[in-house]
Amino acid sequence: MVGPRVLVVDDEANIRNSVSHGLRAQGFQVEVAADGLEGVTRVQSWRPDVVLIDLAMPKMGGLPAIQQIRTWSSVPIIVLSVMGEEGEKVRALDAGADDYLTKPFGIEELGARIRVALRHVALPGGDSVRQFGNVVVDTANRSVKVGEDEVHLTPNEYELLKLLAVNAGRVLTHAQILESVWGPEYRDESGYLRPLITSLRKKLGAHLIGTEPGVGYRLRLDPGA
Amino acid sequence: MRLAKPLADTFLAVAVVAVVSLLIGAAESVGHVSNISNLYIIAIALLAARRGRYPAVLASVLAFLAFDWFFVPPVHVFTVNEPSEYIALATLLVTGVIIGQLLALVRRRATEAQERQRHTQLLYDVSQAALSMPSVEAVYKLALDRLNATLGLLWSRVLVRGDAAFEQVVYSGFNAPSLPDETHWLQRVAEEGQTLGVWEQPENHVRVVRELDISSGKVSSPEGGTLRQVYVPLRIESRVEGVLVVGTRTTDEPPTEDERQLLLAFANQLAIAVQRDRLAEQQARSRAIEESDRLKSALVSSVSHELKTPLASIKASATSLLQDGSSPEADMRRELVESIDRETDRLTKLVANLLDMSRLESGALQPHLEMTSFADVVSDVLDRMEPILRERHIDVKVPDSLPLTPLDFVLISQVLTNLLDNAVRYSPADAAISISAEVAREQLRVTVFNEGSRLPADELERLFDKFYRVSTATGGTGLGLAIVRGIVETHGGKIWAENVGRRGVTFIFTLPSPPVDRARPRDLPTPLAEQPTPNQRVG
Repeated sequence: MVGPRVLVVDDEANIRNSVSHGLRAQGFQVEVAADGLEGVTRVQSWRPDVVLIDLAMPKMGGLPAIQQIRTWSSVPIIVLSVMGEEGEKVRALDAGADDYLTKPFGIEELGARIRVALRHVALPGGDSVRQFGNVVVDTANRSVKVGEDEVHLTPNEYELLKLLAVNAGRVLTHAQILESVWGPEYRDESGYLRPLITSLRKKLGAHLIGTEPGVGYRLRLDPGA
Repeated sequence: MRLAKPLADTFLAVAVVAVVSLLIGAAESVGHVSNISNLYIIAIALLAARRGRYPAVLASVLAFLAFDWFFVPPVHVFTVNEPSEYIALATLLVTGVIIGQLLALVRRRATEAQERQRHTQLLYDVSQAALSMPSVEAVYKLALDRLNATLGLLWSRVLVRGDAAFEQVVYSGFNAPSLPDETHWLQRVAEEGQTLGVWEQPENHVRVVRELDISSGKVSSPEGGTLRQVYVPLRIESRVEGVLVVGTRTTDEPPTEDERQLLLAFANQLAIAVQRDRLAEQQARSRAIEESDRLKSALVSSVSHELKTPLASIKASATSLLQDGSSPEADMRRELVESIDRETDRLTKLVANLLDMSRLESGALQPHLEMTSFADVVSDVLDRMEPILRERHIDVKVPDSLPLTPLDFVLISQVLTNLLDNAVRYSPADAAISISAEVAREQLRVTVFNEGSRLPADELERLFDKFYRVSTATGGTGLGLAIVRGIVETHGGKIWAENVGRRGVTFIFTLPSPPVDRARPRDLPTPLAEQPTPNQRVG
């Protein structure tokens, strides 16, 4: 078995079993851990390519585990969270998780998120030209096209789009976006983002940028799908 | 005034006797009338009836002397010749005095009866007011005003047992401040049910508190001093519901027995009024609890039905697949498994809705308001609902320059999502759906219209009830509109549904949108990437 290594950390045996089964069927190698402590140890010993972590676990919860792992590793971490806990997700993402998936989730979607995470590792920064559906973003030339037509964006719109494009497929929290594009003092001004998103949607097509309610935004790799 | 009456009475007595004496003199000069002295009796009787005991007795004595002096031989001398004249004179005097006394007593009884009638009227008025007036404070005020007037009190107040201590509910007359030790005294009144009197000694203003027995009429304390206040417990059986406090009277006279009885009877009436008020409150509260319990159990049975339906389906599908000895064809197997997947999605949605609903109801869902353009909500929701809205044409009439409204973005997005979901679900595939929004008269007004469905007028309101389904129910959780209403109302807005002629149904909601800060926020600064770097690294 040669697929990428996925470590599944969850205190529910059912989840460990069904997720392992489903991911192996998609070609991944899978190991499991039952709590945060065991999870951290396995990351050190097995060196997975992606870590899936449940947030609510006994002994050591997901958040402390993420914080620990992040002190010495930048392995992609995807958080498995419970429905309705937006605050938890944001905290996990701010602590260094790369993405999240809300339970109950389908195994297909999980596989897709894992592949996105792996792609970002493989090409950090990525190509300067990226295509999403019929939208082409060329960061080397600061040009954005829809089909054949050049689209004019304001500096703020462009920087926002660029950040989302570089992180395509991954979620970015409001705070991460604001801080990255405008600086730490703008971390809490999420009201400013919305008009920009609306205007980007108008210019580039309604389905390029997806909203994660209460959390942030995610640029879709395949907007037409 | 005090000296005037006895003086007037004396004058009258003298005058009456003089007049009668003249009359008798006139009669005697014509011819002898036996027992003419009885005229005096009549006069004395009238005096007694009109003026009282003192002038009657005085007149009796004066009549006795006058008759003796002017008419009993020997005349102009206070002696009597015939022994029988002694008897006549004595009879005159005694009869006069007796009649005087009796009539004076009658007169006094009559005044007393009148006063008692006034007291009874007061008590009756108070009890009528307690039965008919909606506000108990109004009853107390009326009662105290009348009491002050009847008993000549400078002030009176009523305190009622509250949660922690006695609280003043109403006062009448001069608003006397409460004395420092009052809480102790009130506690004594409450616990022991005693009536307490507070005496103040004039020299050193020391206050003495002692039990006071109103019916006994003893209003002095062993230590002396003047009675300043009386605390009367308002008691029903053994429980003290409140305290009536009365202050000093305008007159120095001690209260009459009637007045004392009135105070006690009055306290009883007040106690009844207090108890009635308390019982009414308890009844209202228990009725509210009953109603809320009834709603809760109706809700629980709805919820359990909604949950059990998909669960039953999942169980049936799973156990079918597990059956020994059966090997369903691939199609059948796939169908069963798809059913499990689908019903799980349905359950997930239901649980999410239930969580939202319960958070709304417990007040845990506090909207986080930010100035937002509803146009941004629309663009967001349309993006997220793309899979569902794919086949439908949505007409969006929302101006780009829509003024900002304070709203919780996530919650209002959910409102629009649920309304669109509804519109899609209850209209045919080719029906038009439109969204429009405007800000006018300090309100954001949003309209979501779909062609095709039409609801009976009486159902338009009930649509927003929990688990209410229109008769042609097609999936959904039954909570979507209830959640929408909860969110809109927690923003201080309103939502309702209307039929549009024969064409379709429209849902309209409004949110308050005050004109303050209507202007767009200041633009974001330039992005960091475009700012010159403070330190230029070299090499």
